[in-house]
Amino acid sequence: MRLSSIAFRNVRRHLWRSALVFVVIAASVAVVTSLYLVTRSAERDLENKVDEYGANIVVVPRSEELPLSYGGVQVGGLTYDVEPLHMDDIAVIRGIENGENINLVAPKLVDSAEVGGVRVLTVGVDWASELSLKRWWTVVGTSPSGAGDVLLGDRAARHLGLGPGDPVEVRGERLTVAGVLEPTGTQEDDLLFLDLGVAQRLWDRPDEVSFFEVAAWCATCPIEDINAQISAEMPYARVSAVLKAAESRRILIGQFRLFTLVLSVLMVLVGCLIVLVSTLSSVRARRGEIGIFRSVGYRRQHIFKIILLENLALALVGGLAGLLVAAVVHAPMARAVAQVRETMPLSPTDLALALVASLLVVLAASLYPAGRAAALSPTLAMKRV
Amino acid sequence: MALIEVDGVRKEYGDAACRVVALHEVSLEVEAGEYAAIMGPSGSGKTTLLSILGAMNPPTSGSLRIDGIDVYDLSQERQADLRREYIGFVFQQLELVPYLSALENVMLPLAILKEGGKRERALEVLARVGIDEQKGRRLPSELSGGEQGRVAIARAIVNDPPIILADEPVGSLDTSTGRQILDQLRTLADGGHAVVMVTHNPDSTADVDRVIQILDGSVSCDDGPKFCAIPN
Repeated sequence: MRLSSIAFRNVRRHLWRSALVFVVIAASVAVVTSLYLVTRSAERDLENKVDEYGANIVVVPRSEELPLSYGGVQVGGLTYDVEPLHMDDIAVIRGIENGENINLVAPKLVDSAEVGGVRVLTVGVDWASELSLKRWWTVVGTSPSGAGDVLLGDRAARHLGLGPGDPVEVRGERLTVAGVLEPTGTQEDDLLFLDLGVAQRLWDRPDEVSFFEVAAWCATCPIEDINAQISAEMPYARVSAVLKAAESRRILIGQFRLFTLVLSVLMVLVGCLIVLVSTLSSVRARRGEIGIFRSVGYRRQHIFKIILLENLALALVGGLAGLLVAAVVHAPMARAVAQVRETMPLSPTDLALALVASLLVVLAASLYPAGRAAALSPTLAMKRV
Repeated sequence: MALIEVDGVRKEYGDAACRVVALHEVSLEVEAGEYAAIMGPSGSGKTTLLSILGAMNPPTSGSLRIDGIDVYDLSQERQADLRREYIGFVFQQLELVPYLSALENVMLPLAILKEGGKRERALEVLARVGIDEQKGRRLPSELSGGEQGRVAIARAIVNDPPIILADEPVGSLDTSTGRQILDQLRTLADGGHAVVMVTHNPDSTADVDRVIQILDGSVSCDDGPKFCAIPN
């Protein structure tokens, strides 16, 4: 027989107390681990699907601007010394230090044209990157993909009286309306989109780009770092971060992370308190028994060890049960709470960390009651002293 | 040199506002192989004296030497070691640990030792008090009162301590079981152990070598059982 035998017998003997501590530890580990996995899954989901949330960086030509006002009345402005951007800049953007974090670069050439007697703003785009970037677009008709295709915004289509399949003449080139965008509520409703190469040729601006929309994500660095790197490589361009859906989601995930942190800390504190109170109560109920141990020669450290072993055994079993629960519930929880489709599995490192953490927390909560037990006098074995 | 030497022990409880003196300058010696009974009415201080003899309750003043070692000069941890090496206790309610088997109760003092052969040693001691291995596997609640008493004695002697302290060992037992316990204590004394038993029952002192009578915290008589008659 060893001290551990005494500890484990006690765990079995005080079943209600053991069950309470077990459930508290298991619930704490399950909740904290599940919340951690949900948060990590949401972050990973955001990294993987950042292009679904649109661009978060815009690169435009650097220009000098002179605002004009007279007597406090704004009368317009002057833009001068504009150095246009070019298609080669795509390689420059992708070549930055955090280039692997660049998901998409969507170049655009903006100009205007008279179509059927109506002046419209035209945007030359690379269909593949543009459609990947604007996942929220709903196209009535067919999705544009070829050089002869045109995509109209909802209001532009109504002004021009055009619909899917209609021919349209732009600067003398006969093109076809492949589709019309459902209303987006943005400026896009007034635009005529056409192929970038065709636009560069029709406006005689070969290789020229008005601006780039960039979808980038970096889990370990702020998006400002990527901005700074692009700015450094393209001193002739102005790079701006755009707070769009991805950033909003990042903020939301950040808030969720904070919430989970607070909840986890609360769970751990409540768990600690329950372990502490139930252990103190158990020590109080076993004063006579501890007195016997002390009277037969057990040192204070032996009593300390017995109490700690009891709680650590429960922490180990409770921790494993909690991890099992977390492994089962975190995926549906992530789907329900964060709309995450692919969740992160429970890795061996997570498993080891969670177990070590639960052991350490229970150890910390048990130190005071174990100390109280160790300080009990052997005379407690003699009820009449 | 006596095995147990108590010199001018005084024990007070409470604070200055409410002080109770449990023992007044008690001095006595107990030799190896001696079977002594401490007798006295309730509240006379006999259990306090036993707890002081057991290295469990430091006196307010005075000293206790066991085998020449000044017990209360030792650290608490060394006092625990001394209890394990020198003293075996038999408590009033026997105080067996209810969730451990009889064998495990006997092994209790050995559990903190690293040496092997603990189980064999415990079985041998159990056999000496008449408990076989099969009964040793039972919980205390599954044993008769007499068997529980014998297990308590086995636990007290499993370390082969030179001193056995018994606190009212027959107080809660029927006459037959009590007789068995007293016989065991006599056997231990005959085997060379110093046995000190606290009792308030004169019938328990029939076999003792010596009666130490305590009244109001002082030794009022220290002689053979025939000479220290206890007023009930």
